Amino acid sequence: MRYVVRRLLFLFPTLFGMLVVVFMLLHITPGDPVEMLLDTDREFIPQEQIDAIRKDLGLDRPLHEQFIRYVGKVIQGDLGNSYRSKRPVLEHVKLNMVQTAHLALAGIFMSILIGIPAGIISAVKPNTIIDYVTLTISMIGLCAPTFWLGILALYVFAFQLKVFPMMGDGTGGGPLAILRHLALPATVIGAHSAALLGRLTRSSMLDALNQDYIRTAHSKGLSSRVVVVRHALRNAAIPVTAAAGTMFAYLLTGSVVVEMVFSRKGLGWLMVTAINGRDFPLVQGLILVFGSIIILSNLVTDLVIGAIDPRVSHD
Amino acid sequence: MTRLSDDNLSGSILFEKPPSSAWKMRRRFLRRLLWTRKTGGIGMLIVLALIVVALGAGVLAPYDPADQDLTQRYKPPSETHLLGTDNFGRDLLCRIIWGARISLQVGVMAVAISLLVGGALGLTAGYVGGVVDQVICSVVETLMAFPFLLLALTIITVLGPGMFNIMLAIGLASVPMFARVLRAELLSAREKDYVVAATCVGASHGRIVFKHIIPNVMSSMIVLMTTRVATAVLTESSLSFLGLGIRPPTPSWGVMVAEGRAFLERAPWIALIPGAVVLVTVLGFSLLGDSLRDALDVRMR
Repeated sequence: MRYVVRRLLFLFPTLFGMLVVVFMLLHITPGDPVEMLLDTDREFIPQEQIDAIRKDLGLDRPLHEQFIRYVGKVIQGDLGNSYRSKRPVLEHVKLNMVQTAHLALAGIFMSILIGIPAGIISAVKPNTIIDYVTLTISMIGLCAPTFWLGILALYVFAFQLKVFPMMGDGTGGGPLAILRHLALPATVIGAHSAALLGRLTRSSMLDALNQDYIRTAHSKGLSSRVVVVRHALRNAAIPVTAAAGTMFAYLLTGSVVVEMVFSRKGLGWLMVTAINGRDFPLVQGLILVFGSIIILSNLVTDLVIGAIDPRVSHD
Repeated sequence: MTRLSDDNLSGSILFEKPPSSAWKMRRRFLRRLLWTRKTGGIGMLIVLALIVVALGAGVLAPYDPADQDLTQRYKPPSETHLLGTDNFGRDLLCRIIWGARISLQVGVMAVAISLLVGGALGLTAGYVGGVVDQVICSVVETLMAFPFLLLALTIITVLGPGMFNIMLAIGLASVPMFARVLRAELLSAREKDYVVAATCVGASHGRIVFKHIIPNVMSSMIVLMTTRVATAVLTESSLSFLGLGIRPPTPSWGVMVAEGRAFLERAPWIALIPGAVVLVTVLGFSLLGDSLRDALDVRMR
């Protein structure tokens, strides 16, 4: 219980740090926010109007006051308005969220589907051909740039074999169309995590298989399948779960690249468009959203670890 | 035989069979690096080849990377153009060769920046301790919670695209990692007998840090730097692909993939080959880093 409380308390400095960074982003970037809002050179605008907008935005106040005001607004769910569309940032986020959620969930599914069985097979038959092949593929998966994997997948499966659609997200075509459009991007975004998961599962399984309790389980006559699944896998699950948070974070930022390759209008696509268009409130909002999701997923991972591994919560 | 240095003497009597000379020690290290795990040799080979290509780009490249020949557009790999030509009729091989220079430049400079800033922070935190240590640590821990690409993207938003900015962004995004590793290494080095001894004989702080501590954290720094070059190269190409890094017509591998993407059906080599080169480069530095870790016996976290 003390562990849970301590872990929850650690949330505040992290969130605070993120807010400071995101707030400063708007203040150290070159360019006057008023000018950005009005889309015209300031020579054509009367000074009184500029002052009025400044006052309205609170830009005439000292920096710490502005920061408190900003935090207050964020807590109320007001992330400001986009420079380009003039619509609230939160509206943009809500609109594009679904795509990224689909992609991230499907990516996790693919990485678990590929990574964990590969790791188990490698660990059960170490130093065989099958182990070396798995290790080599996972090394390539770790080093391959995601954008290149995406383009390669497009070329092979959409252009040459024509099994999967090339672009878009399949909205309006029913769940089957959505899944068909998800297959390639989800595999590409999950490739890195699958490779990581495979290596991690292999090494922690090898560790677990060398323990005394495995020998005991074998010698009391259990079948090797039961030993592997019930004794080794269960203990190997701890380090694998510990890495889940990092992997999820990687998957989420991977959406930036994958959504650009497959032209899916999700949060990552929105982020690149916003940075290119110097739409700072939108960038700020997106960094906050990405950051909060990552902080939360780290928290969940730590709590899960605390729950399944009694050693963690007792120290 | 050869004269034994002080370090060798103290090590030899107390612990293991002495390497009879520094040269022999180096040879033993190289053998471990290149042979014990064959992947280390492969990694070393790739990295050396890249360095040669990057340095000798002017001599090695058969054509000028910016030379457009509109009669020779979308040519598949052939004898005159080994890797084919792109949508402007530029020779792909030349652009990849010059791209190696760009990639390595960004990779090495970015790592140098993170080493300088992160190293200074880590050394200060670990050596001074107290409140300074706590402040630096909490900032580093907070930043470490965020994925590398998100940090780099945030910095790029402030700085804008461009070659120098991309080095700075990637370098700064790695600072927390360097600071943390150096601090941890320093804390363990500070406990060692030779540092305590140096303090006892009245050595100054500067002398202790530069003469005794830094040489002993070198091996973990070398390993970290090698693997971070891989990450830097990967990140640079990703950002350039997204249009947030190096801008065309500079021949960055990421830019080349982005440009070739539109012609994937007609001329797939334009996008696919530069991407494969990124893979090989990252693989080379990663394999070398892993083997160095084993050969130097570095344990990180």
